[in-house]
Order: sequence, then C-alpha cells, then structure tokens
Amino acid sequence: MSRLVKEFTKGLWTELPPFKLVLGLCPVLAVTKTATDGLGMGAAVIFVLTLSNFLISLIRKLIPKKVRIACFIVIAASLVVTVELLLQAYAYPLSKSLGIFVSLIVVNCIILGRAEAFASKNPVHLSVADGLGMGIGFTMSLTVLGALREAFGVGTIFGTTIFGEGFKANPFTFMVEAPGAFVCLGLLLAVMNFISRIDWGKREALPDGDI
Amino acid sequence: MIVVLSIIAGLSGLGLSALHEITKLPIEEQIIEYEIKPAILKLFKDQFEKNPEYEEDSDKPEYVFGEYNPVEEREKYRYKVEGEDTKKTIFPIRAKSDGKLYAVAFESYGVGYGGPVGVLVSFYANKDGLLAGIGITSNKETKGIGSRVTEPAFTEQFRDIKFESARLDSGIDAVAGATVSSVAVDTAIGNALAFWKEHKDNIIDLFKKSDKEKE
Repeated sequence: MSRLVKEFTKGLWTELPPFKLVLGLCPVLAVTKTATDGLGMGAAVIFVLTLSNFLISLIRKLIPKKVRIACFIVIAASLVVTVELLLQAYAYPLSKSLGIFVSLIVVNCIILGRAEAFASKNPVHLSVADGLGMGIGFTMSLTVLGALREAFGVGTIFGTTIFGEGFKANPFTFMVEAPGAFVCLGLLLAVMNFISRIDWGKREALPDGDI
Repeated sequence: MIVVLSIIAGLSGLGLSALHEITKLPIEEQIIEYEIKPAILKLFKDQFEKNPEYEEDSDKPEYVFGEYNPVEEREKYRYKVEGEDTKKTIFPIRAKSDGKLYAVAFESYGVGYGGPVGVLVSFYANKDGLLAGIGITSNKETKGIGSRVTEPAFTEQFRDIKFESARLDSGIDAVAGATVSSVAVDTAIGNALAFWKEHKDNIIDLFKKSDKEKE
C-alpha cells in the first residue's frame, strides 16, 4: 500500500514532470496561453498516460523486447486519436485551441518515458498509480503556468477578470506570447528549486551543488 | 514478434474505427455549431436579427438565427446526388422580410497544406450566375501563414461576384505566401460551382417543396 502511495505522489512533487524532470516541455510552452487550455491539455495527458500505462503494464510480458517501442507507440497513438475524436465530438472549441498539440501527445516524452521506465517493468496497479500521479502533476503544472500567463497577459483567470477592467484593457501581452512562456517557466523553475532547497527544519543543510 | 505487433496494431485499428463511427454524428453537429453557423451569420448579416445579448469581447454571436436551427434541420435538407453514396447537406438562408428562400449554402472541400480545407459556398436563390459569398470552415492550415485565407481580406473578394470572375486566374488575388491554401479554396469553389450548375434546380425545388408543406 505504501508503495502505491509513493508511486502516486512522486509525480506530484519529487518527480513533477515539467519542473523536476523537465520533460514534455513542448506542450508546456505551447498550450499554456490560458488556464483553460492548460487544464484541457492536462486532462488529455492524464487520460492517455494512465490508460497507456495500464495497457502496457497489462501486456508487458507478451511484448517482445525488440519491438517494445513500436508497441508502446501504437498503444499511445491509438489513445491519442481516441482523445482527439472525443474532444472534437464533445468539446470542439477546446480541441480547436489545443490544435496540433493533442496529436503531439504521441511523441510526448512523458508517455514513452513512463512506458519504458515504469509500466513495462511494474505490475498494473503501480503503473496506474504512476500514470495518474504523473498526469495530475503535469496538469497542475500546466494549469498553474497557464493561469499565471493568462493573469498577466490577458488579465483574467479561467475567463474571470481579476485585476480589474483597467488592467484588462491594457495587459502585459508579452506573457501570452512565446517568449513569455520561456520566461514564466524559468521563473517558476527557480521558485520550485528555491522551495526544494529550503531546509524544512531538517537541520542538515544541503551541500552546495547537490541539486 | 511480428505476430504480437500485428495483433496490437489490428486491435487498435478495430477500436478506433468503432469509435470513429460513434463520434461521427456528434462531430458533425459540433462543426455545424462552431464553424458553419458563424460563417452563415457573417455572410448574411442583413437577413438575421441582432443578438440583444451581444457585447464586445463576449463569445456570443453578433447576430442570431432565431427559429432556424441548422443543427436540427440539417436532416431535412440532405441532397442526394444520384450515383453517389453520401448526401450533401444544404443550408437554407431565408429572407428576413418574407421568409422565402433567399440563398443556399453548402460546404465544399479542397486539399490544403494541412489536410482538407472546408469552404462554405453560398448562392442566391433568385439571382443566376452570382456567387453570394464564401466562408472558410474547418481547416488545419498553418497558423499565421495558410490560415490567412480565413481572413476577410481574402474571403470578402468573393462577395456578390459573377461565376466567371470567382477563380484565382480570373480576378481573385491569392494570399501571398499561402499559395497552397489559396489553391485549396479555389479548388473547393470550382467544385461547388460545378455542383451548383448541375443541381441548382433540384436543390431549389427541394426547399420550395418543404416550404409548401409547411404552409
């Protein structure tokens, strides 16, 4: 049981995909113009990652070693097409604003990375916990980044005005452009590294350069 | 090795084709709702009521359809072409003044840079040889390059012009730097013109008949 919890929670902080592992940055930078887009993309990733981990772990003993990557890709691609069709059928505006990045989940290194490094070696329940944890971590990161960029770049969060009409009329549009994504991501990374470095009453300070 | 991979690929294909069948209808509805409706409203502003809830920056449309619901009524106006399996959905636009058929619009496709480009082409019911206008619907053209064919600067060229001058080589300016996308739109319009010339009378009859039934 404790193993299950551990595998689930590692994706939420210690191995948080975009910030700690710095994986899957392409969608992180591209679709976080608004918090809604980030959340939608994150939900798509949770779906694909959990199910692909589940399926791959289920048939891990049947997959021959030589063609394992091909098998992983086929499974991930099918799931991604599923998400794409479902988005088009039930959330058309979201699928339009996510555009090509939903299809690009196939080659998202988190999906393949988790399949190769975890799901192909571990039992089903642990793999699902790992996929869910990683997916939720990814979603949180995307939503936070999206919310920050939307707040400063447009003056809203999830479409609700937060800084008042004056700011909304003349926002800091740099944040919703591509360079703003890099700057925002860098600042968030810095904050996260800073938090990780704080000695939460553990007495022993981390030696320099040990991050 | 080959067997396992083939089985996995086969199963995935089977699942996806089933899902494709299931989502076909909802996707069609969403495309009408989010692509075709706005295109019609933009083309025929004069024939629709202004939306009382419309404000700048809101996602509500500036004009509204009123009683006409293209999503629900699409079933009624499917036009079956002899010798073809699929039916073409035709959207009627009725005149605001007397409710009579004012124009019709239907989608036509051309192949662009990122797959098919949907073009909603509309014709007046009572004016021969005149194109009412076009609107670009579903497309996956490159943002900022090919997607410029969706902008009014390009599409407005097609408003109220004669068929002869509606092609790229006779009066329409392509978008510079987006030749493939422009040609895709041109192909779609060519197809639509050919279709309209051949089936015009039948299509108008279809609407006149259903109008009479209403009365």
